[in-house]
Amino acid sequence: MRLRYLAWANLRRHPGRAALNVIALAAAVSCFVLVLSLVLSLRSGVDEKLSQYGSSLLVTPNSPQLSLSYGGISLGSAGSGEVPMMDESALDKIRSVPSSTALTAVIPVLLQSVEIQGTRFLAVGTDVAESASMKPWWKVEGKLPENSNQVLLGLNVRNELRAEPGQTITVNGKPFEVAGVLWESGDDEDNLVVMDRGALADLTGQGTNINLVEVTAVSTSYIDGLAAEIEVALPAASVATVKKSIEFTNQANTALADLGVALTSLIVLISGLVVFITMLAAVKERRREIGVMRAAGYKHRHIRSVFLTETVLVSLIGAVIGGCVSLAAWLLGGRFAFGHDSGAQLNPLVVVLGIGLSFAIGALATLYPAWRAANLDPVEALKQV
Amino acid sequence: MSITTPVLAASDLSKHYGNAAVRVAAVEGVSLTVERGEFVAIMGPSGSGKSTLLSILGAMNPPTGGRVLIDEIDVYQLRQDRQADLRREYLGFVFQQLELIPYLTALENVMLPLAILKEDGKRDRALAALERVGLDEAKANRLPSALSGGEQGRVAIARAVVNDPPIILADEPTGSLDTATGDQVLSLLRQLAGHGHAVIMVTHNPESLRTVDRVVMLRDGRLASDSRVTAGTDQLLAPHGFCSG
Ligand SMILES: Nc1ncnc2c1ncn2[C@@H]1O[C@H](COP(=O)(O)OP(=O)(O)O)[C@@H](O)[C@H]1O
Ligand SMILES: [Mg+2]
Repeated sequence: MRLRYLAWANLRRHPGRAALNVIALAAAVSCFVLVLSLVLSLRSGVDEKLSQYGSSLLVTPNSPQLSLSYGGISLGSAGSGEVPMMDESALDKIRSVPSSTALTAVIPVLLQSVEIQGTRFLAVGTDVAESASMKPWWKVEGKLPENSNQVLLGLNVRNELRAEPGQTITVNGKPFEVAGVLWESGDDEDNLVVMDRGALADLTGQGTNINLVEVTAVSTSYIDGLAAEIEVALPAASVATVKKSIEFTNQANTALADLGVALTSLIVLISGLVVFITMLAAVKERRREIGVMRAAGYKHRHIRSVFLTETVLVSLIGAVIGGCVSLAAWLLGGRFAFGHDSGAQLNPLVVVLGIGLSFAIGALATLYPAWRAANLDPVEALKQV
Repeated sequence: MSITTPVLAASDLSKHYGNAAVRVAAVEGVSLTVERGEFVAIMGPSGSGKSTLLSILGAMNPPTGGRVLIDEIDVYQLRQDRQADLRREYLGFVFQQLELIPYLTALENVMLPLAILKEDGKRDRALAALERVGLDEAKANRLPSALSGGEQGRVAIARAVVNDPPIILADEPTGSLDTATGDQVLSLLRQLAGHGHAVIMVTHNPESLRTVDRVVMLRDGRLASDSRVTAGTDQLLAPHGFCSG
């Protein structure tokens, strides 16, 4: 028989109390793991988006009536009717803003509804090669269009038309070859037909009209300055930056994360309190036992270790259960939130931290009760009452 | 250590409780020497300081004055951890309420003093101690609640002797037992003294005087008398208000 057996025997004697402690610690661990994982994955998502889209902005005519997200930017509100237009002259004005040396590309874009095999789609007319070079996240099955007779189909369009790369489709009565398919982005890009702007203008009779201008800068740090300058140069246009929209969602995420952190802190505090109170009660209840142990030659550290071992056992069980619960919740939550595996893995480091947390709470909450137990005066402890 | 030195020697012990205003002298000027193999009874009215004296002798309660030598070691000069070591090596306690731990079996209760040791054969040592008090292995694996009062007393004694300490301290060990089982416990303690343990027992029971070698009487914390038990024990006790029915 060793000291740890005494801890174990006492745990078995109070299964309800042990369960309460385990549940409290498991709740703290799973809450901690889930919230920290969520915060980390939100943050890495924001960082990824910023590095992907961060250095671009879109220039559109004021009060845009189209609801579209393109190049990572959500544009305007829902609405129907004529899409407002700009003229190519806007391009020169953008290219001659004071900070124009920070510009890497100014790409005019024409958005027009087209008819393909009886269905209407939104077509994007642009300089496909240049536009694609600004979108490193584009995954193309097949090839990018190399001339004005080729098109690139969004995944949903491809699925609807059942058109594979190499096949020919008819757009507004004119044949085009499908050069490639844009692999699933989860964005509006899945619903687009991308083609040469001149070809789209010819198909729709738009001439030199454009709907928006895609502008990219050498780095994210120039974006706000460029946006301001373009707004001055084109008073009739509005400028949307990805940075802004990401920062906006990031604000909401941060608020959510703060709430999670506050909640976790509260649960950690409560679980510590639960362990503290039950251990203190156990010390009070076991004072005669402690007196017997002291009389039998137990040192202070022996008594402390009886109580701390009990906490270590409880913390271990709490950590394992908490870890399993958070893993299950992470997988299930991912399914519910995204309809598929989020792809975001539970960071093993976070799980290790969660397990550490369980031990830290347990140890911290038991420190004082164990100290009390060790310092009980054996004569007092054994006094007849 | 030579054969002739007493295993326990206390000199001029005092223990005062309370503050300057209200002071209780629980023990005052008590000197006491106990040899190996001696069975000593400490008697006296309630509140006369018997338990206090026993806890001082047991290295559990630092006295206000005086000193305790166990095997020539000045107990209260030691640091707390060394005092604990000394209790483990030299002292075995039997408590009035026996203080068996209810969720441990008889065997585990006896093994309790051994749990802090890093050595093999603890179980065998505990079983041997139980055997010495007349409990077999079947009884050893029962919880205290499944044992009779006398058997519980035996387990408590086995726990006190499992480390084979030279000194056994018992505070009213028969106090919670009926006469028959109390007698069993007494004769076990008598046996221990026969095997060379010094046994010091606080008791109220004049019957127990038939088995002890010596009676120490306390009154108001002071030593009232300290005498060997002879044929004339009844005469000895009469002036102290005891009567051996
Ligand atoms: N911890 C204490 N604080 C104050 N007074 C105490 C304490 N322990 C014992 N006493 C007092 O010391 C005296 C002797 O007590 P005790 O040794 O328990 O006597 P006995 O065991 O002979 O009945 C009593 O008056 C008791 O009230
Ligand atoms: Mg007493």
